[in-house]
Amino acid sequence: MNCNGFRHNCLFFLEGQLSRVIEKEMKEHLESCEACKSKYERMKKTFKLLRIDKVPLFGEPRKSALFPLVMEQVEERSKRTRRRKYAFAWSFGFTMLLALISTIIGIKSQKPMDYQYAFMTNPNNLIYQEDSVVTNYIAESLIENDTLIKDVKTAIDNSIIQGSELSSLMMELSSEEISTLIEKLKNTNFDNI
Amino acid sequence: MEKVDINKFKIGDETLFRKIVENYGEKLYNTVFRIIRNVDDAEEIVQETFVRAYLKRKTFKGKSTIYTWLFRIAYNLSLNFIKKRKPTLELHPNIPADDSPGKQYERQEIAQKIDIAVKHLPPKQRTVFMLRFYENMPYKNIVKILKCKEGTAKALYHFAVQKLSDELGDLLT
Repeated sequence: MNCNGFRHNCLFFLEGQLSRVIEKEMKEHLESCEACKSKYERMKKTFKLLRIDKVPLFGEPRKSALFPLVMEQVEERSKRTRRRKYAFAWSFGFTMLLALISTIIGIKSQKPMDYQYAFMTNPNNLIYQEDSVVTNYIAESLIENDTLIKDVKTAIDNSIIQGSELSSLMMELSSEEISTLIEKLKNTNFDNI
Repeated sequence: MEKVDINKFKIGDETLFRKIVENYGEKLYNTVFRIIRNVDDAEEIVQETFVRAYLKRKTFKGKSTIYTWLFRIAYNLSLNFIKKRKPTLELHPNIPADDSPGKQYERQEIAQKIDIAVKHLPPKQRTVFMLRFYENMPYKNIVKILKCKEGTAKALYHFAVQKLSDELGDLLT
C-alpha cells in the first residue's frame, strides 16, 4: 500500500472498519512510513481529545418538563392555526359575497344599457338584436301607428330613446296595434333601410 | 416501536408521543448540543423539534426510524439557527467541579478550543462528524438526514476530522 491509499483508509482504520486484508496492509505501511505514522498518530490524538468533550447533562427536571412544554406549544399553535383557518374562511366567504353582490349589481346596471338588447314581440317571437337602424325603424313604425306618438316623438327629440323604452312602449300597445306592427316588420327588408 | 406504533403516532396518541419524547429527548439534545454548542439553544431546538414532529406527524411515512426522522427536523432547525446566529464563544458548563482549580482551568481551555474548532466547521461537516463520531450512526442513516450520497457523507466526515486535527494542533503536541 502506498501513502495515498493509507491516507484514504486512515479514518476507517481508526474506526476498525476495514477488512482484515487491508488492515494488515495498513499496519505494514505504518511500520515503514514515518510521515503516515505521524499523521495517523495525530488523528488518533485528535479522536482522543474530542472524546473528552462532554455534553452538559440533560437532567431529570429538564426531561420531565419537556413533554408538558411541547404539548403546551402544540396546543397554542393548533389554536393559532385554527384561528388563521377561520379568519381565512371568513375573509374568503366575505370576498365571495362581495364579488357576488357586485356581479348582481353589475348585471342589473347593465340591463338598461341597450348594447345587446333583444326586442321581442309576443305572437310571432320576432327578435331583433340591438341596432340603431332597426330601433329607429320601430320607433317610426310606432309613430305611424299613431299610438303613443307623443311619447315617442318626445323621446326622439330629446335623443333619449333606447331599446328598453321601446320595449315598454310596445308593452302598452293593444294586440291589434302589435299585429299591424308585426306585419309591417315582416314585410320590411332591413338591409335596404 | 416502529410498524404498529407508526399508525398510533399518526393518529396523535399522546401516551405514545410522551414515550417518544422521553426516549429520544436526551439523545436529540446531546447531538443538537454538539452542533449548536449552547445549552439553552439546544434545548429550544429539541423542544421545537418535538412540537413540529407532533404537528406534522401525518407526513411521517415510516421509511426511516422515528429517530432519524426526528433528527432530520432537528438538523434543519439547527442549520437555520447556525445561519441566523453569529458564532459566540461561551464557557463550557460541563467542567467537573471536583477538579483542582489548575486542572479546571486546563479543561476549560481545552473545551473552549474544541468549541472554537467545532464552530469553525461548516454545518454539514459538523453534523456528519457529530453523528458519526459521537453517536456512531451508520452512514446509511446519516445520508437520510442530510439527503446526500454515502460517498459525500464519508468525504464530509473525512474533511471534518482533518480540519479538527489541524485546528487542535497545539493541543496534540
